[in-house]
Amino acid sequence: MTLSALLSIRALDVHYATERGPAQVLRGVDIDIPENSVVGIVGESGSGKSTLALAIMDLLPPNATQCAASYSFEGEDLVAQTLAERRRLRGTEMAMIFQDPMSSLHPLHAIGTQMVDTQRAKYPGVAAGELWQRASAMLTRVGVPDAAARMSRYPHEFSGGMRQRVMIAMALLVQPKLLIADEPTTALDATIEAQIIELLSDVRRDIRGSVILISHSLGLVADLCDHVIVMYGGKVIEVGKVDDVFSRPQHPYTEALLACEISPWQTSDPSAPLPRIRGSPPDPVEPPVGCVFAARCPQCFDRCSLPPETKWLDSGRAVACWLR
Amino acid sequence: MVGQRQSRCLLASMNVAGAILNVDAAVVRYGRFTAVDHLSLSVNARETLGLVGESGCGKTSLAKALVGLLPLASGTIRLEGVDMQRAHVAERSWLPTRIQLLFQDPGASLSPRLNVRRLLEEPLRIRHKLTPASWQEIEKLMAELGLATHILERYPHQLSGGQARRISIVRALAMRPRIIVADEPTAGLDLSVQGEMLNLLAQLQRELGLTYVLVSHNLNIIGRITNRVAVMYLGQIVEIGRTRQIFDRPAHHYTAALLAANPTLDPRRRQKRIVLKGELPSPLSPPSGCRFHTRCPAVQQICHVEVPSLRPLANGHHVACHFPRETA
Repeated sequence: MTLSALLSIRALDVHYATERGPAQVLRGVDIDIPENSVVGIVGESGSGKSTLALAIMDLLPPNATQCAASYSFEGEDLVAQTLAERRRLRGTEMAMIFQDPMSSLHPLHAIGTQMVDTQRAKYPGVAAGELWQRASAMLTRVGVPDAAARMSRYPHEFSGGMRQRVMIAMALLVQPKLLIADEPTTALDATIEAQIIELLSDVRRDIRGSVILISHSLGLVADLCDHVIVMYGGKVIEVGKVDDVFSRPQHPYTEALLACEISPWQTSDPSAPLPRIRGSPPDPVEPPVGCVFAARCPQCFDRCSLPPETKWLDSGRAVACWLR
Repeated sequence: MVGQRQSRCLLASMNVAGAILNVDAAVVRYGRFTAVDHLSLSVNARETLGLVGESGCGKTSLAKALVGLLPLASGTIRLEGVDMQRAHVAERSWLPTRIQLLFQDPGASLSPRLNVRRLLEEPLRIRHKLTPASWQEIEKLMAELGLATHILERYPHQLSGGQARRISIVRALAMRPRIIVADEPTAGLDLSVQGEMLNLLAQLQRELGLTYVLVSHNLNIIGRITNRVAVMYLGQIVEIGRTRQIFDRPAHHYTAALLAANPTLDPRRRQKRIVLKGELPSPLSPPSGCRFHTRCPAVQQICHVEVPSLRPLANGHHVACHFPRETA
């Protein structure tokens, strides 16, 4: 798996300075993103999934400190490089789509201008007119009607779904090797979400690299991804192919989380109690020494007071649990 | 004593009317904008009715009108047979002891200047119902919801999201209502804890004989815990009926698309996604004829001009569509 990995990170730690002390949001995270794959990262709030995306992109806020044993992108070791050297990858080889497209588009510049600007770093020699044409064609590609005319419109003149299409078009314009989408449909209505999911599965073919999809929606990840990384309390607890992980979860947390996903077709008795996980996630300021899920785990036993090693199973499957 | 007498009256009125809450041709307007347009609906005692629809469909406006927080431009809402719009002041003050709203954002619905103790007694004090006995009851409710009494001195910003939500439930229940209108009761809750909140609501319903109107865009939740469901589109109900019936065999093309759009883990259901064309039309100028005709996969000529009425199918299932899907 590691040989063909586009992105490979080992022992990534991120902590935020808070009034109560450092909040350890990521602790010893190892990830491998294979070439030409769509990898879902699932986890609940506070699991560290968005921080992981920001750390990959070097976009962490100033109160955050990150350090990793190794961080390689296309075989190149980025840990040894300076911040400026790493940042040249951003917007050229790596691109990101955020949850809220309104706050990621500049309100005072027309969509077309912003779409031309995003291409400049990647295509420095190309004339502005040609970049404008490319942007306009890409808007049509992602399903924005009347794209040529809408290029001179401003973000507030677009609906939420259309703004997300603009963000996807911008990301596709630079043909990144890695595209990170952080909850790209969370802010959208159900029928518009379906359109964007359809578009994302459609443009997968246009992306000549890998996609990381961050989501709390297990159904969405099942729909769009090949691999999945399950995070809890700042650690990766399980990875593998989506179908394997979702049909035969190895970690008790993955199993419990899958059980919590209510299916309206599951049962006809509306009064049957719904599954849930007792307790609450660990406090990042005082994270547990042992297994992160031990306090809520129904199968917890004495060894769980020590941190479990990550065990590699067949076909890229890994799990961090003493039971396996 | 008063409580007992009222509950006897309540039972009597239920036997006569059948439904505890009747909405007839209700219209809610904000200036030129009609959020709820001639909507009729009845809620039966002790049932859980789900209201679903996308943003701007008017579900929150309807929820607020039900509890008397928004006036109707026309139409009526009858609570236990009493027309709330025409009721005089004395009767209107009775309203909160019958129906309470759980707001979508519990943190924002609690005044930041009052501590939990003041927040909990305020609704009772305003109605001169605060007695030493009411505190016993509040503390009993708090214990039942897993809230320790030491949080009584805290202010809303010192509460966790889950605690604020529980406090707003205690606050609503302290008025001993019969109906709870819950606007997105699990919004902002993680998957692992939303089940706990819904189990709590179900337990309270059993113990206190509550009737729920549950507003949510989460179809998984609506499909699992409601008895009946009403699907709204641009201020109107397009389909209403028993939840199982609607989830298994939706009659309206919008309902079918909404259900198919719901990402699911069930591989058998994953294939059948129906993607609607276009976006939600502006509620300021809704389309002519059937409001869904601009996006409907089964649109015909008549749909452009003639408004479909909400027609009965079998078993109390109603649909507003000229060409409903096969439901038999």
